[in-house]
Amino acid sequence: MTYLAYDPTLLTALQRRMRMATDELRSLRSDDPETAIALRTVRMAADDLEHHWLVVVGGVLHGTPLHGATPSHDLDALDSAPARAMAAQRGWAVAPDPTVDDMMTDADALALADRLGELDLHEVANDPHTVQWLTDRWRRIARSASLSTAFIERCPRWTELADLLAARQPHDFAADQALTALTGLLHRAPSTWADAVQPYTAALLLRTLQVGSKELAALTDRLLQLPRWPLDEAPDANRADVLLGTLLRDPVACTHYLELAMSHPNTLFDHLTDPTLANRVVLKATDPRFVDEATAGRLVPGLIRWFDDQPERDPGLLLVDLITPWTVQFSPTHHAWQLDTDTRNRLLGIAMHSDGALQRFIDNEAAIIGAAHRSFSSHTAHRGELLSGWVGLIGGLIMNERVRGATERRKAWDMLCNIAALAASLAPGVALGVGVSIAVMVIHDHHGPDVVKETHDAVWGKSAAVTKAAEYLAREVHRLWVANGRLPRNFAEPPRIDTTVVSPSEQWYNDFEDWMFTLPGGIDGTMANEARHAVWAALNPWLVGELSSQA
Amino acid sequence: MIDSHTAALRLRERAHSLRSLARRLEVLQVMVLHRAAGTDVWVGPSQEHCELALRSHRAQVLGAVRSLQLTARRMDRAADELLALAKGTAR
Repeated sequence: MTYLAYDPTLLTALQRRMRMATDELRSLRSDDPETAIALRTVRMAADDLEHHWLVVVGGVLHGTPLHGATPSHDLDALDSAPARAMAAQRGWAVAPDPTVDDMMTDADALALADRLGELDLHEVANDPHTVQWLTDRWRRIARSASLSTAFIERCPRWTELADLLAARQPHDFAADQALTALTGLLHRAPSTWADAVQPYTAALLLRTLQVGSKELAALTDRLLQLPRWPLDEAPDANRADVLLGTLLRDPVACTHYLELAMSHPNTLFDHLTDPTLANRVVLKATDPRFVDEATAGRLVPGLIRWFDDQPERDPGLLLVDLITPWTVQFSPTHHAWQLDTDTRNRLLGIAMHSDGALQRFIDNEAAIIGAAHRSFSSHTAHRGELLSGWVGLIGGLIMNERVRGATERRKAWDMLCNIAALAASLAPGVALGVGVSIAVMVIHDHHGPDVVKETHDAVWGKSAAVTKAAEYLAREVHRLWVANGRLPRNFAEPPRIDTTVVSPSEQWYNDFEDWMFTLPGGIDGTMANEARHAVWAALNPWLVGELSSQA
Repeated sequence: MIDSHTAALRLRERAHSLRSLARRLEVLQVMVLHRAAGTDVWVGPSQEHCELALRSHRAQVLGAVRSLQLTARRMDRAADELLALAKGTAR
């Protein structure tokens, strides 16, 4: 006899959730004829839960346990090792497994394999009752690794049957359950099985097959390169849709896949019914939470270049979203990706080229700042250099003549202020006690540019960005000194940025020097030195000179 | 016979209703039920089958979501075409 072990509390919770899920499924209604198929799917799931799994779970919970609540059985006698282990280690209850009342013997399994070799498989696939019966038998065979392997070897026509079942997709619940059960036989089979069925069938089987990230990526890449087959004509979701949907559940596999696909990215984008899936795979594959900087350095610039070589393709806003978490790596002072100035500018130009790209970039502010914060937090060496390069880059990208609308300019300016504040909060050697929180960093700045009248270029944006960071630092120094009594409450604040001038950095730095003259001790005193040291993290005389010469 | 503008509006309403249903499907409990049926709750052949079946339900419902979204997109496109046609006729 085969047993199962269970935690009575958790299994009761599962039973409760199954009931709630069933009720929820049953409550869905719609009069629109286009929802009929979706509602049928929902109804079948509810039926399966209610008439099968709730019965199984209820049978386990309401039967008399052999061990646990009423221990009456010698655990060592149990032939189910996992059940025995859980009962012994965690004190779980043990009961006969209700779905294993008649185990499949080797002879039965091989007889079934032989029988399938003789039958008209079209008839088998088209009869829901036979399909359900077969599903049950496959599930039983799948419990034994050796039996699964023997069945697959003995029944080469399983591939034909799998294709026929796949052809009944996506709306035949019984066929889908059968394919899921069939997956159970393939767990230990070499992945060459994928070449024996149509690519769409392989994609369906991969949905529930337990494979490692690398293998899933390799199989996906291989299957997407195959030519179209009849089953790919599925109207709702073809092979590519199903494969990428599976891939998206595994971010690591997304990255492995994209690395493989970089030599033929068209296979990722060309065949989808739902084109947004490719974008989601790209963004997940390059998400800094799952991918390291070096790998992203191969993928992100490579994809931008590929789109540049394909003028007939419109990437939409994909490339802007692609660079969003990696702006630090595009800064002139960051060398991990080994991009020279021309290449960096060209790649950014391509990414920001499409309609709406700049606006999207500004809308992505929170993600850009969040990613930059994480990146700078992990870089302690050369942080100051990195910060000023990055702040200048973003300033140049967002405050330029392409941002024309008043609202957009206001948003761009707010973003620039936040970036300046982030830079200031991370500036090395600045022990200001600046409690800048990323979530509440918006500086309510009433000294921004006249958003309606002003039209500035990228150099102005760069200058404004670093000056804004410097201004922020100077103001924090002043606030701290007033708080600890080193300056009287009414002592004049450091200068504000003047956004009406051609070179805000030059103007502001001159005003800042004037302000330092007024500090106790004068411009050569201790306090002026401290203020200078803080501000230089964002803006120093050499940078002022460089920016002024470009303005 | 209804005019193109009204027909387009109806199509948009239907697309909206399809998307609403798709969004409801996406957050159904059945979408996460498999997480409550793992080997931290029970072990044995029934557990394996149950978890697989619940994953299969999830995949099926996700397929239905995708199908509804695509149909909604098709309806929106048809509505756009109807409106463009109506504009052309008005001129």
